[in-house]
Amino acid sequence: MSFQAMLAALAHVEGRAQPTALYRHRGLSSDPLCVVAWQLGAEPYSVGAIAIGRRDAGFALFVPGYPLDRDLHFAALLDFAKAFCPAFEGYMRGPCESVLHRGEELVVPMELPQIVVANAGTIHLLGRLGRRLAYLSTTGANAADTLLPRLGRHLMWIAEHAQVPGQQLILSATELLARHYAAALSALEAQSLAAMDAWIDPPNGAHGFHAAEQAERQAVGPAPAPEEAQRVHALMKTFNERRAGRKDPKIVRNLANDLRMLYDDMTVATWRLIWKVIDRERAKTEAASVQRRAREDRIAYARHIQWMLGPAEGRRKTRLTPRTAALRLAELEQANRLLTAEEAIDDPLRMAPHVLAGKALAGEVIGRDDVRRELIGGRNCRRPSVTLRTQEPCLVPAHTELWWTTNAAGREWLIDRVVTSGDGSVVTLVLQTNRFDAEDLPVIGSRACFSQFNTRPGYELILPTEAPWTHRSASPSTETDLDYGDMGGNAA
Amino acid sequence: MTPKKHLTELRGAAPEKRPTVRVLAAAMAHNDCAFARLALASRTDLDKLCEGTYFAVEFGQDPQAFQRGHMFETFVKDKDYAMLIKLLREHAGFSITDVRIRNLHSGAPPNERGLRQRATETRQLLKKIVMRAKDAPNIVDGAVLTCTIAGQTAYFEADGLAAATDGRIHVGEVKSFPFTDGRCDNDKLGATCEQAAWYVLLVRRTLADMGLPPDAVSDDGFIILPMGVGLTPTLLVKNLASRVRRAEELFASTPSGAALPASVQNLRFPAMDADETTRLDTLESMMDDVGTSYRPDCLQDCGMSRLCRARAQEVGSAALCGSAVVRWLPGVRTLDRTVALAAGAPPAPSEIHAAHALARAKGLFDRVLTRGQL
Repeated sequence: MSFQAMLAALAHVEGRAQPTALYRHRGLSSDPLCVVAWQLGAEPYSVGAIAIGRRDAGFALFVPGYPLDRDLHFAALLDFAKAFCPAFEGYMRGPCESVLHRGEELVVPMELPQIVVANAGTIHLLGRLGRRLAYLSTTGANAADTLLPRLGRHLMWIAEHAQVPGQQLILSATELLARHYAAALSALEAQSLAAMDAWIDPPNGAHGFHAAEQAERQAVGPAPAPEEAQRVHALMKTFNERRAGRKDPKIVRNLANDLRMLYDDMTVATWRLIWKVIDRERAKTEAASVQRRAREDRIAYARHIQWMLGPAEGRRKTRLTPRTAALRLAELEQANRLLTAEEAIDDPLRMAPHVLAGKALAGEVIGRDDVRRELIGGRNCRRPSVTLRTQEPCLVPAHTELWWTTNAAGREWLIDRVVTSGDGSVVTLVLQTNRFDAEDLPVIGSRACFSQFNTRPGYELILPTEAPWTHRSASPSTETDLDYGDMGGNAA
Repeated sequence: MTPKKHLTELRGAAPEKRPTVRVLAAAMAHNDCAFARLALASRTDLDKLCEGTYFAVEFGQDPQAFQRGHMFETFVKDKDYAMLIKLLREHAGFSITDVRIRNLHSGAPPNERGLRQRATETRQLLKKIVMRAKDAPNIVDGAVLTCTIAGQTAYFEADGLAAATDGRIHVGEVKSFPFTDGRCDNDKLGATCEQAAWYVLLVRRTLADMGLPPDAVSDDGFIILPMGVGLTPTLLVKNLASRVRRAEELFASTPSGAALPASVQNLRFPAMDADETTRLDTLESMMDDVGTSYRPDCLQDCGMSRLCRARAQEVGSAALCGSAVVRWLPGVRTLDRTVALAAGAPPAPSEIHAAHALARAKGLFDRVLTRGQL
């Protein structure tokens, strides 16, 4: 929209990123977990190194040495699981509240369980790692430690929950910045956390472009910078040569020392950047609706933990049935609708582009008629009205349904009349009910904003219990173990 | 001077790029850039020319990633393509009974002469397949195809494979990103299909050149991917018809002038051993002469992209911010001008439409920042 174009141009001229929000629209818990993961080349289901920790305590780094060796990889991941699982499950042991959710009592932690990562790529990598571990067999010849599938099921669920618009259970620092600032760069370049950070806070008065040009060479994972990848490759080769097939943890630990030091340097740089970004954003005021979305996250978390403790032990389907797919899609769409609405309602800077696009109007209340009546179906009904003067021409067509942002869950208003007046317009809106309190109407002399956004609950999706023939899948799917099942036979 | 000689001169001592269908597909995505087209025609490796300077673009494929790709490809082609034949039988309904494989990589020297030799043989093989000759191969690896760029025959190596049965040709691509739970990375799949589509297009053009029916090449391409963690391959059949059509349109939009325009007669790409400043100066002056077209997606596959981006920044081009922003600024030339218009500068007739919206946007932005409300 021309608002975004204007902001980008402004960022270019001023040499700094411009804010696109007055408030912070994502929650930050008091002491979130932070995970940094490094992928090895194009290996989709392995990590070259993975680190976990909290801001003040610092991170613990786990390096398999040679991740393509299943035993070494799983040994490192087991150590990671020993740090991750207690920390992630620990929120349940903190103060909890009881919430009535879909007709059942649910014990929900008061604190928002939160994991901070560098970018969406890291979330995807964790999800794939989860997929690999979640279905490992814990019995038989290739029995895995029970902690590994548990870690896998947590990660898989987290990556799936990450798709919910506006969730903050797993927070990508890059997305946090991209949603709160506009700079003179493309969406592709904004995927670099270091570049975005440089645009927001360019060092020594440099222009954001030049600062970003230098900063963008820093990789924050999951893919390492090309030069680092070369060094990893070389060190891993030496490691394998010196290891000569030995898998004894002590020997492996010793031999992997150089590799660990390299990954440690890479992780420290990423770690510092993530916390620099998070600390800066934390200073901003949180938007009003963040608490509502955080509550949804806490409930989702509690349900996940409940599922983990249940007879399924956290197993989930990897492929949705047509019915669950439709429900899931509806859920995501509702969350997205609510997120857009809440962000705009909470934040005038988020509402501004909608005003320009003719989806909202804002102005000073110059008139109010509480006792106004009109004929509806032959009856003389009470329908109060307010009159607004806007500074810009009102672009919303007459007879559009709008909601007052202060009472966005309430009844709708209808635009009755738009009259041009000077540069702006005089707009009369009528509330579509006779049941109202005085505080449901804006006060004369105050400024009010009406928009197409409301926070009323959306439609309820009612689906047939059995999928119609058009949506039946040919064969039911089963979850396969990627390592020892059909698909892992030739793993390196 | 013949165009061919001219192109060799144009490249001068600059590094040469091995032409593959992958390179063609990437270059054609930027065929609005005259500079990139010139490099494609003269086979100059733009990715290397900025090496060692401030504007170097580090593509440097991760050695591990390369290793994985290589390992998977070897695995699929191992034991005389046994895995591939099994896949074709099981997933594509091929009834290959008598397997005849032609690997054009073997026996040809890795130079221009080898390319020409392979191109000739590729044409013969295609003819045999379409004419349903008894000794026609069912699997062709390492085909070399030709097309005309800037009036010059260019050779392109296909990374993929071609499989044929009953006179029908299917193209195939082997990639190492995984296919798990019925899903894979859609961006990567898209890029792979794109490459396969170019392959289809080139084969069809070759057939048409020989007076054979181009529709002998099927719209259905085969994408071969590993499943899960291991290397066990699977085969997806993808319809490439719409991508081939798009490739055709892109190709048709390339200027086909018999010789290079006069403006490039005296140009020459810089040599790698020239010092940093000379190299960049030469490149920049060439860019000024020929013209470039920077887009943010250039950053993904062009070695000149950081230089072009810095040049776009100097003039304040809206292209820096991506196509969406460009679309919202019709008639406005630069970002600096955008800010001036937003601040209320009188618009030129071509800028009126954008100017109104910009001024309103700036007004709202300032009001919200100063007053904290709309």
